Amino acid sequence: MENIIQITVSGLLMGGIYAMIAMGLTLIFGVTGIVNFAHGEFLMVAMFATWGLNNVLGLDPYISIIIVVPLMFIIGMLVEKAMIQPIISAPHSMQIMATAGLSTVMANAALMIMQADYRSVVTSYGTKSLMLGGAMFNIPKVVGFVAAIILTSLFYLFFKYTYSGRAITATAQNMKAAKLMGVNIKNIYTLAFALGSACVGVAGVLIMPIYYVFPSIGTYFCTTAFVIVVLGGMGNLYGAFLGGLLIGVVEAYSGFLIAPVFKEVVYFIIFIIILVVRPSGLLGKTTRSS
Amino acid sequence: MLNIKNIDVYYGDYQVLHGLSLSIQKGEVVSLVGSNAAGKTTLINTISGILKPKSGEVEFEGVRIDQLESHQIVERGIVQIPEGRLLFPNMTVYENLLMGSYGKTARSKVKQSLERVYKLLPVLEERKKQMAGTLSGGQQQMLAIARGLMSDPKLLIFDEPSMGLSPLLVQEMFKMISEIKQEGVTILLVEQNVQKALKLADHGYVLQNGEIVMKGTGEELLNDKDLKKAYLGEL
Repeated sequence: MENIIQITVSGLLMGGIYAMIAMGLTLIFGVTGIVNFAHGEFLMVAMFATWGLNNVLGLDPYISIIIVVPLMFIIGMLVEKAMIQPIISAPHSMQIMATAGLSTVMANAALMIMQADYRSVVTSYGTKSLMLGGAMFNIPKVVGFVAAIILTSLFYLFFKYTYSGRAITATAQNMKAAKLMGVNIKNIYTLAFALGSACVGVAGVLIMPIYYVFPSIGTYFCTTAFVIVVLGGMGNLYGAFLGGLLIGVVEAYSGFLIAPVFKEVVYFIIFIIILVVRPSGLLGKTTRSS
Repeated sequence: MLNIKNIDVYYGDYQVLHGLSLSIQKGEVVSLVGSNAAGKTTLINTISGILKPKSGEVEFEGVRIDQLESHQIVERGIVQIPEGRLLFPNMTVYENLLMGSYGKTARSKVKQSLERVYKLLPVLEERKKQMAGTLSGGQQQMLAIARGLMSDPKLLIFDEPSMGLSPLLVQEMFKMISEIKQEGVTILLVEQNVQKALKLADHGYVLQNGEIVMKGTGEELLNDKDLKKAYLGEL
């Protein structure tokens, strides 16, 4: 019994972090139709930025969020303007080549500049846990989980109650109609890409106290994020949140019951089953028309 | 108010509109009729800035608008109610209406605009929390029109508003268009229902293979023998 509670708690907490990464990816896809294969590398950049601020300026990771998140927002904006905008209506194969290419360039640039070393940020709370109801709650993971809930709520409010937020939703649902309502689609694409990048920036900062950063870390998280995005219904932010939690729990259980190395096998199997039963994902309603 | 001078519009290499000219005076209803693939939707998409003419000019209130982006054209007061409605299906009725007031000038008048459309179409107020995609076809068309009105347009363009509606609803729709006209909105009406469209119109144009082949007052066109033969099924 104690085990069950503990495994569920660990899974949910880790799922919160996965959810944040996946939300950025699904937001970008839902609005622009672009699958950003470099999303994991954006995470890597955010993590290195957090590490750098800690190492050079001695900033606590949680404080550096006020620098890293705007930085990622700006990086996302620039990348969208320079790279994504020219290929926004190009064939999918070309878009994939572009973002996958960016992923390779970023990972290798990081390898060149930072070397392949694993780097971490040492904090006083990194390994601290709270005991509650018979389960251990790792504090940085709890922070990440709470942040994921706050982030999802903020997005909900933004999409529901602001003109820009509604314009993003509207563009995702019917681009031509949004255009006819006077929405500047180019700006909306830039905004969505920048927000998606900022989202992964939040995730990057929050996992720094519990993870190592190295140039190829993006690949690991990005694969998981892809599974979550498809699982939740492509482009569905709340689906990504649920999908993230689900994958976190599945991973924790399979790690415990089978073996940690098999955890990915297990969630890919569940992923395939869900796609067979519900091809549009957990919360996916409509398919996107191109 | 709107002056289209000699425009050529292409889809890729294929020329759709050939030296087309058309003008609309403030406060009138202009109907544009013509068979399928005559270029009607191409023409209004050119006015809305979705397509750009290769040559010729589109002038609105004395200013050239043919090279502007569509959002800039909406800002100037030209709004299209597109064929097939193009609502935001997973947004509520209320949110769809708010999207209609997206433009900067329209935003400052949201309250008045909402009152205006709720008065015109009370059913939308009753259903404001419902997802637009779950409305009936007729209600969706009403929402599309209301969303267009939310921008407080100077020129409102209707693209096939009666398409897919029952005869009773078509009647109601035309009544609504004339009510909107009473409010002083200038209207360009693109319709397959030639008779109804011309009856309502101050001026009419007949479009065929991308060219204007006939123009006149609504009444003149209604009584034209050739037109009757071609579109109204009378001998």
